Amino acid sequence: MSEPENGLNDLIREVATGNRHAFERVYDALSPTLYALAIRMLARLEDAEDVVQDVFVKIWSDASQFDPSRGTVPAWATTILRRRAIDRIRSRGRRDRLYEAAGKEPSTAQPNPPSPATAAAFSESAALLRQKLDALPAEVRGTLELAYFSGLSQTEIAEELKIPITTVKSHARRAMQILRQNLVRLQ
Amino acid sequence: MNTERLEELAALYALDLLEGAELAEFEALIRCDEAPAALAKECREAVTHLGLSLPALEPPARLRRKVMESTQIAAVVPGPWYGEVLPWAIAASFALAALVLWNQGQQSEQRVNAVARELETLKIQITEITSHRDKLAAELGQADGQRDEMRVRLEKLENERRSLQLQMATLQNQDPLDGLRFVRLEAQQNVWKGTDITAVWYPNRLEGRIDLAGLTIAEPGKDYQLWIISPDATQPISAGVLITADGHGSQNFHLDQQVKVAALAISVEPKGGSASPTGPVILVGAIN
Repeated sequence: MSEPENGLNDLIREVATGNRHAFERVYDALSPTLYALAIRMLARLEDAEDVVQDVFVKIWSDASQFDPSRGTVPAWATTILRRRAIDRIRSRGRRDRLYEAAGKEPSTAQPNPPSPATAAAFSESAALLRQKLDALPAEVRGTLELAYFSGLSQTEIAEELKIPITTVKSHARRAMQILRQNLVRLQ
Repeated sequence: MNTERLEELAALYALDLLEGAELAEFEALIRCDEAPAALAKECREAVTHLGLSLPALEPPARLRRKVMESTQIAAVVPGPWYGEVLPWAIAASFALAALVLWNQGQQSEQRVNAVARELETLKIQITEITSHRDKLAAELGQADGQRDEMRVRLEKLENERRSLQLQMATLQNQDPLDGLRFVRLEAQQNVWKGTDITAVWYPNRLEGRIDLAGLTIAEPGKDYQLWIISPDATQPISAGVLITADGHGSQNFHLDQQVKVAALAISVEPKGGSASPTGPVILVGAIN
């Protein structure tokens, strides 16, 4: 992200007053991450674009409700995106079953590669974090990814990984410890 | 709640894996306790970095256009020709509506006041009627008391009347005068003329009383003896020797057997009397 955290907070306050320029700067700062996350979760470009669009419309309309004491702007935005994406995954599950029944494949496309500026802005911290995540035990990482990127429930993760729900819970706790430790290091 | 459980709930919450009771429990906890709330926030931030760990992707230009367009529409609604007039029209409508409502409010208030006055009047009337009713009830209660008292007295008088009737009936049955006979004994010899002797006879009691006033003291060695003359007896029945005291006194006499008495007679007998008359009969009185 090109904007520092305090800068994003200031921009959101400006957005709340209807400042279009501030909103464009927020879009530029968050859209590569949100788009990547949407693609990762939804796989389809059109779905990812719809969800990202929804997120920015929400940021524009609800900027005045943003409370910095409850979290950062990226956390707020990714939370909105994840919930929209999970909703879409669940509704698409039904739609895909309909496609399957009709003998058709849902459409997919390849996203654009990042621009050099975007890649530069995001690469360093992202690479470091990926490194840490890759070091996690496979089951812990799998639990984390199925929960975060696929939006599965505890029961669904347990079924997917063939582990008890209590293990899902302990994996989530273990993964969170590592994420928090690395969060401190990254800051 | 121990630290391990708290960390587990915070991790699951940040990953949107909490559901049902666990979710409600944790949300209640972070609402009222700062430490779990801070932990939840930290976990949410950490999870955010999971998203940030992905290689960034350049969104297509059309997405930016669509976002800007959709938010532009939301920001500035393109107004038709009446766009500037509309707020004033709305304001005027509100003013008109307020005026109408105010007018209706005034009318309603007047009506409410009138109803309140009627209500007050009715309350006063109800109070008066209630008071009058209570007074009448008290009077009725008093009259009931008097009526009961009168009933008691009447009953008492009725009892007394019945009692008196009974007594009267008893007295009538016992009539002491019933059958009472007055007898005047008249002299049978000249020497006794002027001697006035009377007696009464109670047939029901088989007894009588004779007044001896006017009867002189008997001669020495002699006594006066009273006789009862009955048709049921072959000879006079002695009713006893009469004890005189120089023209004074009276004496009771009686019969031992139930016989019809026709007359009383007095004779002069030897001292102590006789079983049957032996001397001259000086006085006789028939009983009617």
